Amino acid sequence: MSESILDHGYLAEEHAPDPVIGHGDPTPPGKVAIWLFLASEIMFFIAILATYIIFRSGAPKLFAEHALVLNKLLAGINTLVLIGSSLTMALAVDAAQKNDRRKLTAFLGITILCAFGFMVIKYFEYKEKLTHHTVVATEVDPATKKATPYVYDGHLVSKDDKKLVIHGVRARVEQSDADPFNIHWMSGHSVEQLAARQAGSAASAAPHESAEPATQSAAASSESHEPHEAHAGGHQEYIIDRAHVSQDLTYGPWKNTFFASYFTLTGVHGIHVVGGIIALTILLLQSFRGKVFAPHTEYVGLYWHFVDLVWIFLFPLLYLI
Amino acid sequence: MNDTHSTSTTHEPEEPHGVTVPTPHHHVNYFAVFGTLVVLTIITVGAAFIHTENELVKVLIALAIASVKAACVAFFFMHLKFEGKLIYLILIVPVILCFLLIFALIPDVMHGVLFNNFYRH
Repeated sequence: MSESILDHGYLAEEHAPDPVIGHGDPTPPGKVAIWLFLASEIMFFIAILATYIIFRSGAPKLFAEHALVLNKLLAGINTLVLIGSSLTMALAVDAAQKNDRRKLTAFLGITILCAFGFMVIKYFEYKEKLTHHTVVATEVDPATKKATPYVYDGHLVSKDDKKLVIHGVRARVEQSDADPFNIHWMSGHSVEQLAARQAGSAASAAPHESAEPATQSAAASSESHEPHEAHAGGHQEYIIDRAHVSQDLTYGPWKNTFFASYFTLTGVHGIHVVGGIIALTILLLQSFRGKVFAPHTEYVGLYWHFVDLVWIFLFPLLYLI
Repeated sequence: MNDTHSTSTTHEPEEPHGVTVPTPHHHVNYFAVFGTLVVLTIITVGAAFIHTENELVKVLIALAIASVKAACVAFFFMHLKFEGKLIYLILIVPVILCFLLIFALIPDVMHGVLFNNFYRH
């Protein structure tokens, strides 16, 4: 049967070109696979980024105010940690290709440590957000002796069954039909501005009234009722009776579209970092066992550099602009 | 990689599809790339503190620097500079789709910019 094929001008199998590498491109199939995976990852991240763009363009003020809460220093350190881990990963791939097991082990180890460092910093960042409360509580206004809703924004210092202690700012809730109040929109910055405006308007109003709302900022800045003064020294500790609390919201993804975007983007990126740690640990264990897998190290390296690349875009988009 | 080095061949993993090409080795000064990335990161942070009325300028500056950094990572750390046509072919598809998606968002973003006065938040 094979002879009849030969008669028709086909090559015998042993002379046929290699089905995988014989078509002019020497790229190993594993590398093609990892690049295909990264291509799908690009589309995964751009879809979430597109959602972020739409949310942001729809609520620029909300995004600008809440971005102030993010810790630029920690994120900057994290950027350098990831870039450093990319460097050691590149050196690890280099060592694997030179079959230098000792160097490979060292560089893989440093890369994993950097990855853990990134996740630890991320943990503290998340913790900072999840202990930041916005609270609406009804207190008796000292001047008018009427029950008045106040909005508080700040870090939770302590809490028990009876009370919440919050270090931050507070202002009277103001709302109208044209301008309704929504706790999801309130940032530390906007509460501070509101408090400063209320203190300012109280000071410029009748003198006997000035004692009333000024007291909350007066404790910190008793000298002046000017808005920028209240702005400078407005942060203080507030003890809130939990029975008076009507709304309590932390800076989690449930807070508003900004935090939803922030936690989704950094969260899926964090999951990718964890995935990288798993892959790197497998390589490190193999290296301890005396095995150097040069192509596999290269593929894990490609993935790890991609994770770094995503963070390069997330850092300015979320924290800086 | 060395044929005379007997231990290296025993530790060499078996490629299922019989790849015979030796693992390519590229000479890149990784430390120089790292230095460039650190400098660009500092520039990004610095640029964020420039006060401009137009937010779009800030966004474009930040995205431009991020793109340069991403190119550094892709071309040197990820060895894209040394890859064949096939990898570029794989990569160009999602990149085109990314640009398509972003351009498709421009009408919505411009709506937000033009009618900003109607949004309090």
